[in-house]
Amino acid sequence: MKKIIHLTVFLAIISALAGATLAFVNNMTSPIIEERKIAAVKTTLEAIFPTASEYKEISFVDASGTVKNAYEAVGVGYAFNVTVQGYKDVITFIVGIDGSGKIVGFKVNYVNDTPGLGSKVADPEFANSIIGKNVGDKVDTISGSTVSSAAIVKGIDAAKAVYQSLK
Amino acid sequence: MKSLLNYGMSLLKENPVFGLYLGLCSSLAITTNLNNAVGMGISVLLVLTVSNIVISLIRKITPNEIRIPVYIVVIATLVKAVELLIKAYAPAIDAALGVFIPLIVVNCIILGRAEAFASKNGVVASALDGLNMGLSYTLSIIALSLIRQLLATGALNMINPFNDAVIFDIAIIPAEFTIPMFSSPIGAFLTFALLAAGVAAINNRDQKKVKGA
Repeated sequence: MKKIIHLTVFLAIISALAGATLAFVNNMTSPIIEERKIAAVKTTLEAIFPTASEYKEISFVDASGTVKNAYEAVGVGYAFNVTVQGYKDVITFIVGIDGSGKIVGFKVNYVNDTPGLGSKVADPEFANSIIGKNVGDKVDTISGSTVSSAAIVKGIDAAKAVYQSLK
Repeated sequence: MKSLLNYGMSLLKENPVFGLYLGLCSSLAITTNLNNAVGMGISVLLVLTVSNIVISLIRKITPNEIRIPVYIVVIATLVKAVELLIKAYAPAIDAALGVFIPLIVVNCIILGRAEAFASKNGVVASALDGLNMGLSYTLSIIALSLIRQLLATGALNMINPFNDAVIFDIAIIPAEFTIPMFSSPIGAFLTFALLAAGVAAINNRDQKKVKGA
């Protein structure tokens, strides 16, 4: 009986010390991690809408569930953070649509599909084929990376739908 | 010079990756480029050294029956702390290594050294053992990543993870002659097999010498 209590108390003390250590590290790092998250989006938003002076996150309704966040570049346009299922992992990207319904920015933030095939969706060629199109235009997929690029096209369609609902 | 050579040989013989086949999952998965290998190597080196120190410090008061859960708590705490620090200060490494940082917890090298060495030896010896094993793990995955990155992309580069500045970037093989397969898992297995065979050959040769003498 004494043995059991000894073991329990020892493990409890070790776990408590571990918890305290982690709480300390978390306290130290969590503000920096939060800042990094916002900063990552802000650079992208600034690249898409360089003229906007203010960016804010807005609420929206998305039936497909692929649009994760929507941001308004005040007076200029909207940007959407979209996550779709690619070939073997999710793909997240940001697409920006200006006030006149033109796609003005496209940036893939995360893609983990086959290098050289699915990964092509992050290449500048694909972004250039999207930027400049209007909300009504069709976006072409890339041969050799059909699954990944078709998923993105679907995600852009969802973003367009949200854009229409916001206008 | 001779002691340096001896040290090099012990790195080969007692190499956790190519000699003992420990910690292979992460070694194979993340060695697609040099940056990942260095980031992973340093993370493991840190966790391994500190966990060896802590476990050695508490070795006399740790009851034998619950030593494994105690080690796991120590290791998991350290890994989580390293993960948070990487997320805060080196986001490029966090983005590249993702789930493999939390998975350091189950890297057998760390629990292996805790059980085999730190639980029986003093603090200084355990710290040195952690540094030594961590260094030899780091060098092994750097070797893997050098071969894979070179063959798959034809270039070698290194980026400072703290500010994303490029340290060096050299193209060696023209793009037409690269073998993209080496960045996928099959390339990892092939490279690993070749290097492990090389290490085994060197070790066998040494053993024969000893027998012959």
